[in-house]
Amino acid sequence: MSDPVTPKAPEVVNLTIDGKAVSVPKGTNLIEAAKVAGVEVPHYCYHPHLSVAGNCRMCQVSVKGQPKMTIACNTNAAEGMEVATHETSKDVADSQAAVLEFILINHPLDCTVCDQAGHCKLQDYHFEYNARPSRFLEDKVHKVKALPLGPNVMLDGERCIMCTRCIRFCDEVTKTSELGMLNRGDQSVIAVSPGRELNNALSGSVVDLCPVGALTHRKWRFNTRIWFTKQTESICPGCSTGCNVKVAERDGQVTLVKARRNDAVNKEWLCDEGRYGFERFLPKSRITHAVSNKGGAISNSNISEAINALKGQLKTVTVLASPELLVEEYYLLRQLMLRASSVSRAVIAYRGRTLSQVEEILVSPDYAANFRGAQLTGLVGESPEQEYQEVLGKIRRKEIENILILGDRAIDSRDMDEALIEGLKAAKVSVALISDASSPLAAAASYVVPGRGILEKSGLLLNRALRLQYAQHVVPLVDGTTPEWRFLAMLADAANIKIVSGDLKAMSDRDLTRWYLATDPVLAPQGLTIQTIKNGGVPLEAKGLSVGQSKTDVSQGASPSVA
Amino acid sequence: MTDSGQVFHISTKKIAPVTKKVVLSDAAEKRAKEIIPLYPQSRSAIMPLLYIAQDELSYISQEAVEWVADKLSLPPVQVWEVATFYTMYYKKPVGKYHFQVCRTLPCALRGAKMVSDYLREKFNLNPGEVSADGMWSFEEVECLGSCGTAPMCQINDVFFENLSAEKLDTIVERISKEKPDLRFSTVRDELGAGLAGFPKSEIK
Repeated sequence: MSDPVTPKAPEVVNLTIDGKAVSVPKGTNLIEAAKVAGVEVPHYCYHPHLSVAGNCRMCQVSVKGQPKMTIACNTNAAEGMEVATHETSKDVADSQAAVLEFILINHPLDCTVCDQAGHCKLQDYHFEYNARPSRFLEDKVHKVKALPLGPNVMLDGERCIMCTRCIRFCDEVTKTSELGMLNRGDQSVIAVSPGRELNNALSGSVVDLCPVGALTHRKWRFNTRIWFTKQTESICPGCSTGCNVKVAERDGQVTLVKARRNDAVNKEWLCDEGRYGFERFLPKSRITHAVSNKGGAISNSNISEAINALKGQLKTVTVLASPELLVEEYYLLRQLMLRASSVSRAVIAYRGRTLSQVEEILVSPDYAANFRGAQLTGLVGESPEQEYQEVLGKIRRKEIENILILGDRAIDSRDMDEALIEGLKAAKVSVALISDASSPLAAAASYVVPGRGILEKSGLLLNRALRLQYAQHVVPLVDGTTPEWRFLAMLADAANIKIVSGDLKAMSDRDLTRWYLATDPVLAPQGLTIQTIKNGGVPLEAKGLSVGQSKTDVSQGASPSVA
Repeated sequence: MTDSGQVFHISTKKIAPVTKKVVLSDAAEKRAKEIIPLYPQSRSAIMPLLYIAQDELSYISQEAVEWVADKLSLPPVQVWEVATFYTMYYKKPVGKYHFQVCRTLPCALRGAKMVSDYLREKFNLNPGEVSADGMWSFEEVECLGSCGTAPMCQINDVFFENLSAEKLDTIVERISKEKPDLRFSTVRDELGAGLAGFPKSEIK
């Protein structure tokens, strides 16, 4: 065996920032070096994943031995450098205040009607670094207001501070170059070429990048003030990339979806389909009561009726599961099936897709957020799409008697046809845990139990690159709904199958995740906690784990118990 | 600055992208072919190509920009960036005789406002407007690099310096009568005959 090549240790330079000694790799700029020292250098145009433009002049610092102030974003740390930021140098603080005053000269100050108010860098920095009334008495320059740049993004030219982040994003990341800066001086304005529009698969990301209110989402303009919303850090369930997002919710409605920085997953980008399609994970009309449907006669029911109908059929039941159930739920389902019988079968609704060139930057070629989770727990094999289509074929041919449907998207809407619905109706027992009353499943299943979608649950998702991430529930819970894992626990109880020694049914989402992390024979030795996973996710591959490993471990007869 | 006619505004109306490519004269196409390889980065050829397009099409229209972008394989918006940055590219049609009055500090101190006001009154025009007969138009621009002979203006491609009201009277009168060629042709690489008695500028 040959020795693996040991990577050369990066060269390190030592410098002081505000008197604090720090060591950073060679080539680190002073904004990042200051972060290491615990100092936030204010900046607008700098973004860690874009080229350095150096045009906002906000990040000035003073370097000992240099006669003038220098911009931190375009200055690399060097050995022995002594840097003073606004925290220790009055000159720097004064200079930053002056820069802000210049930036605000032509800014319309329309915070009262601006969607960015409350999460605006101009507001924040003005409060922190200037906070003086304006001395500008002249007329402000007027520019375009409310100009649609494309189907998703609206421009307010007057609010723009010309940081050019959006232009650099389109030039460097998507390489579509739709945006440019026209005219010059105080007349400069961001624009698309006449006759063209900003319409690429990641176009909404420029709104995230905009530090002010110049670019806004056409979908969410004038919707709500950001401080009236509840903001949750979660994971986008659109595909198996698992982009980190921050979702603002008010009264059960999603009012804004922002990308959250995670350099290992999505940097700070998000695709339009994921962002603007976030609401597709919310039911159009909510099912709040269990119903039974016997030969067309629909009557009120309850969850135990459905469980009683199913508990005797566990040996032959076929389970169709949503591709965005939690890892914990796949694990429970797998345990239940292992203990009940080996005849029963589970598939997830995996649908592949082809991607455009821009989509390939970020999007995974599937609509299955957690198919890796299902593979990790051994529920499905290497080709989930084939297994899924096989089962759909059997249902269409009316060969399956007992069906359990977990989640609204357990059958992809593109696969929902007459023959399939007839097949579902023909089944002896079919139980559907779904939340959307308008779904064809609601009319086809013999028992419908109100379940919870992925936005109503907290738990683990495993992305395509095997990074374990924690999704938090985004919208308020609705009374009378049952998460899929609790239904599975109740089913196990009713069928006298012991999965855990404690009472799973009484647990909360967090308890379940803790229990799972301590119980899964593959993950338990890692000593993971929700907090460590929340902080950027945990790459399982780096820990020497791969999908399919638990399959053998579990069937070797581990006896899990509540931690 | 808003009244100077220099600012390019994007219409909020839906504009169809240019599908039919504009074809310039053989001489212009040939000149473009000569110019492009002179630059290590094709992007650097935007300015000379814009001049060629302006020569041929009289102003920088959407078609002109698309022609340049197509020649250099660039996104059109990057050509727009250059075209709108400089005042010597006309973003809308101008008169047969187009006055560009320098209004930067040295000229301003030496009476640039007088020149502007003279043209305003003489032709009853605001900056950026074209006279009804299509003969005259004017705009105010930044420094043209002739501060030693302020105040000055450029008519088409020729400088007229040390201006006074009397001198402007003579110039306007003679231009109306003689209809001189004041254009520099990028394609033929030569300046028109000019106006006798006034120095012929060597602008390239």
